[in-house]
Amino acid sequence: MFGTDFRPIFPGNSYPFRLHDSMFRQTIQKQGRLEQREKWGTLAENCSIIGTYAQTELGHGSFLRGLETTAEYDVRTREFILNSPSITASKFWPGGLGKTANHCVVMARLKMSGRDCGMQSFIVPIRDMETHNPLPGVTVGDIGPKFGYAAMDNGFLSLNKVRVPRENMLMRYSQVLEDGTFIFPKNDRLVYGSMTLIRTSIVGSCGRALAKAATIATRYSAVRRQSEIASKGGEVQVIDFQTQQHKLFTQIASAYALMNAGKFAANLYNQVSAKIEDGQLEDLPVLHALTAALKAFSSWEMASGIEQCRMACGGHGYLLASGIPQIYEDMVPACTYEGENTVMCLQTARFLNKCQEATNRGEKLPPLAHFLQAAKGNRKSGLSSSMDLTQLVAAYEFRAATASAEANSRLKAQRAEGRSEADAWNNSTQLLVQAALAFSHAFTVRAFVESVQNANFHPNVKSVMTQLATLYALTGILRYCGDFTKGGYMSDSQIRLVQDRFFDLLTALRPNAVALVDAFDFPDQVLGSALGRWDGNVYEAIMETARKSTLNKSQVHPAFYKYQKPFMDSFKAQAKL
Amino acid sequence: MAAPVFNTNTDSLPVNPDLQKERATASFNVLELTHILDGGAEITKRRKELEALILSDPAFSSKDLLYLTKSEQYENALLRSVKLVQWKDKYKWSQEDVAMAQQINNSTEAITLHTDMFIPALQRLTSEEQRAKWLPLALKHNIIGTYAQTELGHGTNLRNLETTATFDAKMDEFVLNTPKITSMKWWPGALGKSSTHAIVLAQLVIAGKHHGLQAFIIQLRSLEDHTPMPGITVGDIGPKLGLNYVDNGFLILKNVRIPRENMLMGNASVSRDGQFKQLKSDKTNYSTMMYVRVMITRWAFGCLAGSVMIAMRYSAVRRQLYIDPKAGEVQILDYQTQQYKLFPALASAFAIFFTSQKLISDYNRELQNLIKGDKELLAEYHSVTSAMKAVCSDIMTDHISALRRSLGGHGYMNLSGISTAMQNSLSLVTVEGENTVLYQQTARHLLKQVARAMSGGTLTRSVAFLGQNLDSVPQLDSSEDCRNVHLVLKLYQKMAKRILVQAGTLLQTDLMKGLPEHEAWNKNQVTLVRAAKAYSLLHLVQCNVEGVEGLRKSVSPELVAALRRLCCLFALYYLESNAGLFMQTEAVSPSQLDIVRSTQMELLSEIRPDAVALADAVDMPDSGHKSVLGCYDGNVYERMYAAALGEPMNKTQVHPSYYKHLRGMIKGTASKL
Ligand SMILES: Cc1cc2nc3c(=O)[nH]c(=O)nc-3n(C[C@H](O)[C@H](O)[C@H](O)COP(=O)(O)OP(=O)(O)OC[C@H]3O[C@@H](n4cnc5c(N)ncnc54)[C@H](O)[C@@H]3O)c2cc1C
Ligand SMILES: Cc1cc2nc3c(=O)[nH]c(=O)nc-3n(C[C@H](O)[C@H](O)[C@H](O)COP(=O)(O)OP(=O)(O)OC[C@H]3O[C@@H](n4cnc5c(N)ncnc54)[C@H](O)[C@@H]3O)c2cc1C
Repeated sequence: MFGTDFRPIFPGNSYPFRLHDSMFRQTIQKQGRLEQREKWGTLAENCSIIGTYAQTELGHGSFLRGLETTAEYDVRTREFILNSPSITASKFWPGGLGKTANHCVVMARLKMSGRDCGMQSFIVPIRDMETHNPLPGVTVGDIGPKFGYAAMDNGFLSLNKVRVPRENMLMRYSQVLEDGTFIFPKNDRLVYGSMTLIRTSIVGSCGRALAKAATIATRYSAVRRQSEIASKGGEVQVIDFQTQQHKLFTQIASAYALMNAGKFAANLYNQVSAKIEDGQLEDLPVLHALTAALKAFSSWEMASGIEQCRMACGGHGYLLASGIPQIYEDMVPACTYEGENTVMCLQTARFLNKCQEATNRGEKLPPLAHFLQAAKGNRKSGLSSSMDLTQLVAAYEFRAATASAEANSRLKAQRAEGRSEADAWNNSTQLLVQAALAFSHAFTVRAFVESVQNANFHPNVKSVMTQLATLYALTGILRYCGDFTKGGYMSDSQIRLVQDRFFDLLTALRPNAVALVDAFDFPDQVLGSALGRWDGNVYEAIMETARKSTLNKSQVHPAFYKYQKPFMDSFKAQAKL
Repeated sequence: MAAPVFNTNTDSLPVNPDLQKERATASFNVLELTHILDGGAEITKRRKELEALILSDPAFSSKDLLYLTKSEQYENALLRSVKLVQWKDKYKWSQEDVAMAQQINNSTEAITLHTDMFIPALQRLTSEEQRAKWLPLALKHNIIGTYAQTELGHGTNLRNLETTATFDAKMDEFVLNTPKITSMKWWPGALGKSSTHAIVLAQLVIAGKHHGLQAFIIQLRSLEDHTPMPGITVGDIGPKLGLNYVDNGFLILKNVRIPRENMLMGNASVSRDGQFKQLKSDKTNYSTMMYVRVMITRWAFGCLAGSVMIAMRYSAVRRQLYIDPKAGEVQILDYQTQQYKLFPALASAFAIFFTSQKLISDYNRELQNLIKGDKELLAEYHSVTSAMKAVCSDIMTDHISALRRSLGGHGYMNLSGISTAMQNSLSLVTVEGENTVLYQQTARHLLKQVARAMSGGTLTRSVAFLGQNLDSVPQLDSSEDCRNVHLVLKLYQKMAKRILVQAGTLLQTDLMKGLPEHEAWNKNQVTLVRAAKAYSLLHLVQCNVEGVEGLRKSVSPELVAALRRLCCLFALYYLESNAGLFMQTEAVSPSQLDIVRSTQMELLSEIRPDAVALADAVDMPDSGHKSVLGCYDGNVYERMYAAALGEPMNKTQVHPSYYKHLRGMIKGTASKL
């Protein structure tokens, strides 16, 4: 949409080879047999073929089993025939598909003489290796202008009876033999491994995106002088306003919290993966549950946080030159791709619900979900004016346990009223989503606190990180104070302590605010921002980008001669009559 | 591009059956609601006539508009401006027609400031002779003007604007300068490329003495060839998050000389011998400022309502996953979580509508007194309009981005309509008074009223609740209580009053401790802004309740019932999302919050059958919103596919960059194998 007017130096998430680098090659590695990995993997690595990963269709994204593209096995020629039977079956969205890729991993429903054998992945050549023209039966193109991602040719693809050899189905798990025998996978839970990994990495990416926006807004707020606090006291840096500190420092804290949660989740993934290699699968459900909701939590926090940073820059935040719109547009699809957020929360909620039921039966819960048992009994928070971090973690775990217990009892009540299981579930989903988010929030707070407590920081660093972790925890308590006062867990006077401490922390963090974002150490080229430059020469930089506006190519815009001049002349002519 | 595989003639398709079903099951007559939103049946009729004219013109409705570069967007917007003026003259449009035409066009013209700011300023700030000279030129478009206030360094704090106008007594001229980089004018709409003249705000200096901000009229560009006048550097400020069709501009002035008569002398004058005289207070400017803020609440309604309409229709057409595995895929509108994204947004749109309507009618009623400068009234209206501009734009902004995401992947397409609406509307929280700054202005006024209430003084209407005893308002004990909006309104009043009193007390305590006033203020700034927001929510709920109840006599009971459900959902939704305010003031307890929550869930189910009809009532024509997801007939997929085929990148099967970059890479490494 912004045409040639604005090009960041580093395109972030949006460049045509992104899917080739990530999904295409990974899928071949994860789902291909050895000979397939050798053949396709090598070609892909050398960029002799450029691929993408086509899953989403015009009609279906969240519901993979609803995908309509079919692959039918033709025993006679030992080929698969891929077909998009309806308009909604067209692949839609894959990055690099429109104009760049010449090969594509296509997810399609496998049919063996009429029998449905589930979703399988196929490598489909889509463009001629000589001319780059689409191959027969292939209709492919770019999907058109988007909110962001202008540098990416997200594409559509319809296949009209396109034939590929049997060897083009990725057969590490399921297999089709030459004679058309279908062999079911031994354990398809493993297929989900790479999804979990990607979601884990999204958590950290969200933290980094927010960190970029917070860096820009904080540096700019230190440079921008606007209004007085004391009359005749001279204009202050806007970062001295308490309301501005509230906007900025909560987001700096959130950025640190999310980056840290991403690290914790990645460690967890590695631990669990190692166990899986040894054949121990019991941690898989909790890992899956945690990463699903954490991906949703972090991307939503990131999206609203970046917007807050942009608005904190006043009018200049609205310029693309501020760099913040680009960061937002680049990262906000994380709320949607790799599992739509609401759908993710509900997957986690299923797990939480099972935990509730297990607790009710008196069974033990896996370590990461252990605290869900805490809902029982009449608990009171031990939080005092010292704002002990351990007490803060306990408070978040109380909240998560209560939210999950409440969602569970709503579900039970709905069933008791005689509703079908499906309706009872649907009528409880809003609470279930909240429970999943509370679960992720508790994880994030605990991870932040543990990293501050356990890290080997210099005392000065430790002190400021403790302030930041405390601020992070207090922000949530004030935001959701209804949840924390449930059943008298926290009292009014405790909430007041929280509030007082919160304001004190804003003041305490003020001297270190710029240092805290400088520590992210983003080079200016990565921020791509006139407002967030390290050297603070904001106004010169804004002016520099303005001069480059395409409207300024000539002193008088051609549209003046085309429309404005004849228009104004017509009035002059009237006046003369 | 090769021939399309699927039918792309979207005009020939029947209405999507899901949408048809939704429309058939609505409990009320859609047209009745549309009439209310338009302001009457005749106005709806007039709107349709204007839509037919405007939207049949390709400059306004061509599907290719999506693919324009910034420069082409500007060119198209300029053409729109020209056409609207020509139609206005040709068809003798009334003032209301012009406003409606702008609304139909979502104000996407290049030169709106000429009529919205330049001409009103010429009317208000000039002496009689000046008016006689400039106004006809502007009205006849012999000159095109803009209003240049904001500078690169200052937007909020106007008193510190740096542009100077120094009186040169010898020549009887003013010399204008923007001495520093931060002094250049920055942001004014149509300044970059279109305007020939500007009213520039500058610090008046006479013989070394400063006389505050005054307005000057400056010629920017030659009336012959449109090139910039000597001493003037002017241009476009570059790409923005949205509104790229407007040439927001910068302006550098270097010793630009204008005759003394070019200072607008309605409020203050400078005589031939350099005597400065303040004629009347500049408070008269406030009425325009307040009017613009009121209009922003109206735009906030339009942006939000249009986006809700799109999201609702799409959610009725989109089927994804299942609730009951045996029953097949469901419309995503049936998911409770989806309803909780859409219905509160719908309810907010109506709340903003009723509030805006009330603000407009108050304004029209009191205009004469406002212009006269009735102090009490000005203070009250200023407080209310500041708060409503801020809260309505905040609420709209929050909902619009959630609505965009509620469309899943397709919401990220510009074709969704919401992504573009969102980008354009995001400026509303900043322009015409930055929201944080506005809330503080309201807080100042409200604290004065609290003090007055405590000393038993009389209170104006908008703060009358401060004088009431609200301690014995009953509690919310059941779902019925929650549905009693009058009771809920009382609880909002109780909450707002106590929050304001608490904020005032905190401030007072710090003052008693001997803190200077500004420090005390800044120390409690977040609290004060929060208090003003609390009041703003109360005011919205109140306008909403009054608006809906006011329809009782004139509107069918089914429609009133449908609107009451939304009104109730609005009040409960914001009660829950601001639970902290209500608990801190003991208006609602944590366990009552559970009832609030479950009542909202009941309301979602009750609103569900009317959802599409309520959104349909917004009645924005397809060619106006240009969303492929929100079309009336619901043929979403065909339209998306057809639109993708129209993407310029698809003009050739092989994109030129293949030969430039890709081919070499593929071939180069291939030869190594
Ligand atoms: C920039 C971008 C890049 C992308 N790149 C790729 C790519 O490279 N390859 C690829 O294959 N895909 C890609 N996608 C597509 C993406 O993966 C899908 O958009 C995503 O999976 C969401 O699915 P959907 O669009 O069908 O959303 P929908 O499922 O239609 O969501 C619409 C609404 O319905 C709600 N909803 C749906 N199901 C439920 C339920 N069961 N319960 C409650 N609510 C529900 C959602 O919460 C949402 O509010 C990309 C998308 C974007 C935006
Ligand atoms: C799309 C668009 C169109 C515009 N069109 C025009 C136009 O036609 N003509 C024109 O003259 N201008 C125009 N403007 C400029 C606009 O009026 C200013 O951007 C606006 O007034 C905000 O001022 P600012 O940018 O200086 O923000 P700043 O005041 O710099 O705000 C930055 C941050 O500081 C905070 N802050 C500032 N002062 C205080 C305070 N006292 N207390 C607490 N916090 C404070 C703000 O809350 C914000 O978080 C336009 C702007 C945009 C985005």
